[in-house]
Amino acid sequence: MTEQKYPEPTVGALIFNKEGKIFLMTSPKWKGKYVVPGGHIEVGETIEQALKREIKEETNLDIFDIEFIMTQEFIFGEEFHEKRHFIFLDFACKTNGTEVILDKEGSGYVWIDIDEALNLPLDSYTRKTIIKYKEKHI
Amino acid sequence: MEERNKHIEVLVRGIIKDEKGRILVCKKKGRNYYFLPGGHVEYGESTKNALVRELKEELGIDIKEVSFLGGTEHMFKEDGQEHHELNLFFSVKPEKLKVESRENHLEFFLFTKEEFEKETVFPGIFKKNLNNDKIFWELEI
Repeated sequence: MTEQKYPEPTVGALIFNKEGKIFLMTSPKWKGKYVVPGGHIEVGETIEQALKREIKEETNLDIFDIEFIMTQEFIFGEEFHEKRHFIFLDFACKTNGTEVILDKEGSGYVWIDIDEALNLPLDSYTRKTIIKYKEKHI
Repeated sequence: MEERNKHIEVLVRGIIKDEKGRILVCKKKGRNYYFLPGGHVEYGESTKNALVRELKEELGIDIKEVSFLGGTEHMFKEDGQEHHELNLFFSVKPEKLKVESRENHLEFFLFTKEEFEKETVFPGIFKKNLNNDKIFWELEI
């Protein structure tokens, strides 16, 4: 019997450092494009806990001042390396941290001005998150 | 024995108002609490399609317009089973509102704002966002 599959809720965040730049990383699972760090919410874990845990695991950064940006649906898109159904919950947050340590999810990273970020080879979902954030903070 | 669902349940719920501003709510027969109509998003299904499908199944109504309002996470226990839900709320404009249930175990009612605030309606967090047009995201653990 095949295992029953469900939509998978995941969290991700634009992280702003003290200079007001955002953190983006290149991800092997997203065809090497720049993405926001994040991952699955575990059963029994709050969204905030999931976001803090995933960002700590993937970047070593501690975050605060979490603000909701948007939800996005990812249904079997080509952009990811596997056939998956994600419900993305996208947030913005801040960090005072400077020492980034990547795990296997990231192959490189930048701190970049949010307007300049739009010139990077971004994954389309991360691009939408940045644009939505900018719309909310005109 | 207690059992926890091994995955987070993603649900879509519609806020449907009639011409008097009353809100459509749903109740399982024999229970003393209400919830907003809607249901689970299936694997591979978009949230909008899930909402259209659920409202068609439950009430036989067709949807004219859907827009995202916000969401909340919700953990609770029902009949000995723990649930972890993600609820996504949408404002829904139906082609024609009907309040008759198409499913035997469900009943539907139109609540005035006062009734909505007085009765137990899950997830409760939505009550305080009822008159707020801003997109919200809140915790209800």
